[in-house]
Amino acid sequence: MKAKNYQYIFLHFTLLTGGLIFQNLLYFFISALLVGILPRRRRAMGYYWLLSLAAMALALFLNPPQAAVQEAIAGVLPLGKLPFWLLVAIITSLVQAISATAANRLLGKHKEKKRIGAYLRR
Amino acid sequence: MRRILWPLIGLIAVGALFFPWANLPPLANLLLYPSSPLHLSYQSEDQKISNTDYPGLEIHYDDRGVPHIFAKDQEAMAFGMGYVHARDRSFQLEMLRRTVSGRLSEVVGARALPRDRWWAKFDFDSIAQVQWEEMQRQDPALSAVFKAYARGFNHQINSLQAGEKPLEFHLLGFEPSPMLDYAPIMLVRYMDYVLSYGENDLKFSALRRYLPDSLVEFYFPWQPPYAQFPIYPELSASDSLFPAHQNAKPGFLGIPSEADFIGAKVRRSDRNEVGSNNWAVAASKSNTGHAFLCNDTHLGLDLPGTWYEVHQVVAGEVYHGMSIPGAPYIISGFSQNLAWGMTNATWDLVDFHQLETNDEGEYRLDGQWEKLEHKRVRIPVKGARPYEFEYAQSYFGPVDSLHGVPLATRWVAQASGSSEMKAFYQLYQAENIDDGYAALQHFGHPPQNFVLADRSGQIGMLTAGYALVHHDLRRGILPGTQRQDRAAFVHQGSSLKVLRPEKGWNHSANQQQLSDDSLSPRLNTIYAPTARGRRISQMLSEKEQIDRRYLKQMHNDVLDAEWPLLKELLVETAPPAARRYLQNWEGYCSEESVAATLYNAFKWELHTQFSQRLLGDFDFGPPTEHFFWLLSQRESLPLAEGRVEKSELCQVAWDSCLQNLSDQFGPEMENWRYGRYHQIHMRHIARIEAFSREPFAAKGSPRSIRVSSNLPATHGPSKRILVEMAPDGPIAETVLAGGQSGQPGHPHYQDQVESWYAGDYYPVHWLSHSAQGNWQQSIKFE
Repeated sequence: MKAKNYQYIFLHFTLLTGGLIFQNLLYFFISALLVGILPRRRRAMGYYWLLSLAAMALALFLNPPQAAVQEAIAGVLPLGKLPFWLLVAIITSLVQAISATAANRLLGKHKEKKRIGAYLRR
Repeated sequence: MRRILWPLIGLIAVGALFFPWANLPPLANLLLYPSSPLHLSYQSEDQKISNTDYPGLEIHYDDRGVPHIFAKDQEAMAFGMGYVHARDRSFQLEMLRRTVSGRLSEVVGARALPRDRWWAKFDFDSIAQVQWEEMQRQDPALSAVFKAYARGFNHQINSLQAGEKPLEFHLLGFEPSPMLDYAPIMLVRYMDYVLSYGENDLKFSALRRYLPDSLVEFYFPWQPPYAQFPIYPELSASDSLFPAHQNAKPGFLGIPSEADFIGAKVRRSDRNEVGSNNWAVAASKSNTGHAFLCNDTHLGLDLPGTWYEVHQVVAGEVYHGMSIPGAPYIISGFSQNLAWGMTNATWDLVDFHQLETNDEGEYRLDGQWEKLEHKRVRIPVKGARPYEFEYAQSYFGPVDSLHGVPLATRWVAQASGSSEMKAFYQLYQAENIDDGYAALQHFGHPPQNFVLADRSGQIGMLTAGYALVHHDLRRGILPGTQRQDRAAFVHQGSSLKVLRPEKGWNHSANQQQLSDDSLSPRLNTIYAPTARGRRISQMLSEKEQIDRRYLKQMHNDVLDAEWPLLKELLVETAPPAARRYLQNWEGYCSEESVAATLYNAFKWELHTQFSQRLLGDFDFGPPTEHFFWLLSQRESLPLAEGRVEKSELCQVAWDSCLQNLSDQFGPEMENWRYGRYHQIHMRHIARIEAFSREPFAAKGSPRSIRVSSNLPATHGPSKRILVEMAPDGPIAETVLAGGQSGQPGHPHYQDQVESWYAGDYYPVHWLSHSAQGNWQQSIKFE
């Protein structure tokens, strides 16, 4: 059971990372919704947010934002000392987490399926 | 309830990100990582692009970001040009195309509506489509080049992921549009606007309210005496297109204005007149025995600038020079055999005709009532309902109502039948100045003074393009009731030319072409002041053997050539404190000069003060050069009522200008350095302040060869080219007022500004094989 949990965490992390690195908002939302509904088990929003932040960190590590671009953006947006990449990371991971949680809650009661053997034994 | 709470929160959060708050673009484009500009990369990694129609095409970028395109034929070259323009200048091109089509409001909102409305009535998309269809029938080879250019552009923008589009697209929240095949035809219309559109005629018609005819003739003469400094002193009227009319007596004002035209948009303000310079030196006058050509075109000092430098190698033939995004060919540059550069011909290419209309929607033409063709235009507006308006089309052009007066506009941009791109294509093939001259017979608009220099050491100059030749020799609004009221677009190209000048050099600086009384009224033109032309001519004639260093010195010459006209007056009338600076000053407008500040501030104040005396609150004034010349000749000047004494006028101007300078820079005159008074402001094309450059000290004035427009200095030499046509290949140097890249923050966005400011140049790498280069990035097509 524990191993399966890790598998799901890995699946969620992969989906969330994929949703970030493919530069497509449709993939981004679909991946977040998939994370929410797979498996049909209730999870806290904090779980999704933590995973999303980790995925975000990996995406930024793989594709580090260029200082020149950030400077240009900082000139337009009044962000003060807040780096633009951090703002994007926070907003993006929050949206991912909220989307996943919303999908998760939409499915209603979350029950483990009874094993087939249990039906047979009745 | 709990079941729908989270989905509801999710929907609200996502909706908030995609909602255009306060008419801003959706924040999702900027703040969600997959579409955010954090994906933008200015690093240059080598690329291989497969499955294209042009295998073998190579593009290599050098250390200045100049692309070197190696192509097997013209089509492949055009594909490469489209690709590099999309890569480096797609936002600039997007703005340009939307401007000409009247579709800016769609992406920037209602503030662009007046501009869109103005452009939309010319319906250039339809004109370009008709011209494009004709071109496909008549010139399949050139059409194929246009198509390849569009394909190259589209290939690049289609390869971009959501986050990789230029920053401005993220900020404004829209996607780059695909390039249409006829884009180069639209570009010509944009350049028509930049170089040939002006509404002085509207102001001339209103002059009647303020001045009697005699004073109009006195202050606004067709040929101001001091302005007799032509590009072609060797030619006379009989050499021009209009010999039959040389004795025609010109009138002065057209239809009196019934409307209040004070708000008319006059784009070609004489005080801000900066124009361009070009000159060529024949082998006989050069220290190397080779011809030289220099060109610095004065346009808006925007970021990115108008020009994009490019090196093309097509089937082993090499071409280098400045292109403009939107066109596949080099516009100002050189091949192995020929160099060419241009200045604006500065002809009046816009007429306004007042129509006589009735309540039936008809207008009178040759005694008959003709139906006005009504057209309805719908302009999409970002964040608002589409804007719809109706305009009418007449024999004279689109009709707009200005303060209730139906006015039709006739503008050279509506002319068809020329092929500017064909002219450039043939310049590529030209072997000498005669071929160059023949090629430019295809050039239509906006008309230009072209200077040519070839490999054999010969030079030449010609004025090519359409002139709007008037029968009604009056300024202002013209009647529009007879077909013959409409002036003809006459192609000028064969008459205004001097090839192989005896003096060994030729030049132009937007001044008049001929010193002949009949030409100006026929073209209805106020030319640029002659100061720059005089100085170029002086420098070229006084040096026996001209070398490269001297030519650079000319490009960077900051002597205000109008200074001799005003020197005596200034020194005589200046208060003692100012006189101390002025009496030993020689007219050089360098950053540290206090005298340059005093001179410029005084002279523009003098013109302003006099214009107000003459015309009251009407925002217009006599041509500055003519006015200063009159002042140098007389003790008083006539007004509509009475006269104004020169001494009094100068006193008022000095008082006012010294007060203004004191308010601006403090009471200590030594702090009034020219670099503080006259600053250059390089602005982003969409006027995003963060992407503009902080203002910095200017060198030069509106009347020096190194020109800097009047305050604020937003116009100046947008590029400088110096070419020596050596037999083994041109030896050239160039510099841009900005950089190659249009992407804010990119290392090549404004990296050439310091060199441009210092008067330095970059050597051109004249390479015919890609293996010879030291490349920063290579893109190979397979």
